[in-house]
Amino acid sequence: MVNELIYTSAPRGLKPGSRGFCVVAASANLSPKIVSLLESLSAYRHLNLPAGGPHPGNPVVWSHLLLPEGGGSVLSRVADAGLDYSDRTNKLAHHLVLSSMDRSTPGPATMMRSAGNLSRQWTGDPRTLTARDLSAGVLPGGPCRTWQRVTGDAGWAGELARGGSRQSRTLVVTPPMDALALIDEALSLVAENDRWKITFTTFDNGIPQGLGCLWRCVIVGSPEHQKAVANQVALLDLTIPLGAAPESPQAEMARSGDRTSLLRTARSVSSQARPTVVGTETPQLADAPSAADQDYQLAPLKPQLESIAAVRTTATATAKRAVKPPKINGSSASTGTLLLWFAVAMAAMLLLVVGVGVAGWYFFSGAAVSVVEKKSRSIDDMVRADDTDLVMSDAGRQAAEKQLQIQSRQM
Amino acid sequence: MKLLPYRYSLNPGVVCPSCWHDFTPDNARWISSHPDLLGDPKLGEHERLRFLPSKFNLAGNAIDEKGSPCERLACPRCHLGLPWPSLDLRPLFYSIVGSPACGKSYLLASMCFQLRQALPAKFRVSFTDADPQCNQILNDYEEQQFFNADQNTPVQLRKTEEQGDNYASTMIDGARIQLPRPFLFSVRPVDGHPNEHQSERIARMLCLYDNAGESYTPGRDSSTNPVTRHLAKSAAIFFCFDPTQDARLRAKLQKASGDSQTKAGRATSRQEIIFHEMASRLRSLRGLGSSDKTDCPLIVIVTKLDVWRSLVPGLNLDDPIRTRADGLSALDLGRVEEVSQQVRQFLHGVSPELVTSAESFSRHVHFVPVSATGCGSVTDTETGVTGVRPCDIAPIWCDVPLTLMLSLHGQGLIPYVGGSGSKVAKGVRDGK
Repeated sequence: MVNELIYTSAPRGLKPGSRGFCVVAASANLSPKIVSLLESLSAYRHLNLPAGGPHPGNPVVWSHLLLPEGGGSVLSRVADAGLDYSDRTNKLAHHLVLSSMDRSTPGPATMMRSAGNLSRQWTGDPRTLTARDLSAGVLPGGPCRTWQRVTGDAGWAGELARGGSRQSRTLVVTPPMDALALIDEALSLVAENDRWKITFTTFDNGIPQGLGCLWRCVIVGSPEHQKAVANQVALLDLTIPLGAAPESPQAEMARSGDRTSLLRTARSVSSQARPTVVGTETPQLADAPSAADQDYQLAPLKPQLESIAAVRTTATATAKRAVKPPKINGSSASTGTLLLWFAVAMAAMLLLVVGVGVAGWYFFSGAAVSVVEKKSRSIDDMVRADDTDLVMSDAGRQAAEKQLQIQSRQM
Repeated sequence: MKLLPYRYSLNPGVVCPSCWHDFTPDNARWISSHPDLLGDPKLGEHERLRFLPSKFNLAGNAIDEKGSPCERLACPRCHLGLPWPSLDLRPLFYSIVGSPACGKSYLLASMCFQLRQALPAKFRVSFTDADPQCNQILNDYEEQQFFNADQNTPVQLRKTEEQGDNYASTMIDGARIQLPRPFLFSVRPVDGHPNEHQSERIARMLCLYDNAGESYTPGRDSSTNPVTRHLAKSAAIFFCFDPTQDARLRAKLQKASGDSQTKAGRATSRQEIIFHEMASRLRSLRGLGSSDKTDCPLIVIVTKLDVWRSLVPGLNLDDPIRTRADGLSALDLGRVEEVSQQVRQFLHGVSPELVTSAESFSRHVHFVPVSATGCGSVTDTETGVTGVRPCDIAPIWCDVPLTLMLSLHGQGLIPYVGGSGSKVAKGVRDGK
């Protein structure tokens, strides 16, 4: 079930006594912890002062984040809302909390672009929101036209999508770029199962710590942009000419609009990470945990050349790891691998036999004499030891005799 | 052996101005410089790693694990930035409290603008940013109002929010915590100050916080949102009372002033609820009983003086600073007390519950009238923006509250003359 929360500045809030920036509407069963978290996601920075209504130059913050501890997805729209009741700058934040059952196939960006899902204005009294159905939206098809218009090459959408949920990216944008459309088109190039794993924001003005964000859009010249530059984070700067995008299956999809190869692309992307052994048919390698399944918030993107080298290095290393002993029951392994392991086993057995033979010869030939000699030496040692005992026994007897003499004199 | 060109004399104990954690200087963390050391476990993947150093260069700066010298410090608990003056200057925390829309941000901007000029010129005390990065928001406010190239287009300060630029998010003990970003100033005597030779002892780092008014409404304080817990450390409380939000004054003000804030239909507010909430939090944080009086001074700042001034005839708001022939200046406490009494009387006639609450809360209460802009707002015909024109801004008495507290708490930082012994809290140290 979808839960919602609306946060803005009002003379009276949903909670008795609240006013100013406060929750004005919410679903009934939102926990205080989630309410507090959603409020913390309601930050907004006005780039232009509104005069009455919202200023057209102020961007909208669209974001998809994942709640901690598997709490689901949060779709948010935070935007300039003109002036409030006290004639001061206002904002409107609308958050949707979705469980895994509520996620639509087209993905979070498409869902947010669908009219009616997220509010653009607030009127009326504070109220409790009732359950409602959301529209799944229509996934963008065809070539990535927004990317084409912004960058000159739709293939850049594929460049963003290529990393999928394994790579964090920072995009530099400027209003009035439609950052949500850019992200929606990029997500349309990502496999269905991965779309909801990709967190993003179209205007990063401070995401609370602990909530990762894979695809961040920073406004050019903003403090976040400056910090990214200072930290030498690799940026996909959409405000400058980018030229042609690097070639990749996703880039080709983005240009041609042909997404029927998406399934094959998804398989080939995963196969690049876990390559098959040469000469096999339908290989089934030992299951290695996918980075996408584990941790979405990976290290920031390194410069493209380094990232490509890293992918290749990772692929090679993964290929080496992938060559594992075949399973005994029920799974077929490659013939080459079997032969290799058979040869290794035979060599080991041969070595063992040779070793035993050498040991046996060593024992039953001249080497045994030295062992016997050692034994006799030890017997001699024992005899000498016995002699020593005898000597000590004599000494003991002599001492006893002395004692007796002393005692007899005393008596 | 070559001696270092300078030495810091460190405080034995340091208080983080962001999370108010007490620690010793040797436990301060350093912020990595090398670009590869990105990602801090408390602050997130976009912040540089904080670390406890084991290697230093000849300048005394730590060397991070990639071999880069580092220059910035961080708190060991919250990992937020720590300005260098926090290690050698004793902190002085002041809390500014008030309901939404009472004018705290405007007051803060005007206060700092006036103090930057008045303290060095009149008292030979420097008032500078301890960390320009920390004060960026406040500097932006001052620039908009006082250093704007366009003097005629109205400007308006953004409404202070409970999230975003005024706050920082960090992880403490596994929980996501939101902390207010402080405004930090170094206050030191300079050449010509009578106590210049005791500069190390009396110099202070001033910590001010611009919380959103919503943060002081009942129920907003929590362990994950402890944005007002600077009340526990505050040496003084500045409570802002806005007469234009008082329903009882609204009718009088509508006749006396044509200001848009007095128009019928504008929201009013019971500000004594905010005061009680603040008092309750402070008592709880300091372990005081519910009826205990605190020694922490309270200044009730009555804002928007330009709107209600005509209701208090005879209010003498000339500069309360007296200067001797030799150039030494002092705050005229007698004048300040006189004005305080007049304002108290005015407030008592309008909101007696607030005056009573204030005087039962603290042993040292002052009432100070201020106007952060000195003028009303206008609407620009071209843009439609409603605000104040920079050329019209003329703050009134915005520097007096802080000057008053520095003269009482500064231990010789700002001289004062006059005043009655029973009222003036001479030698009061950190508030209890």
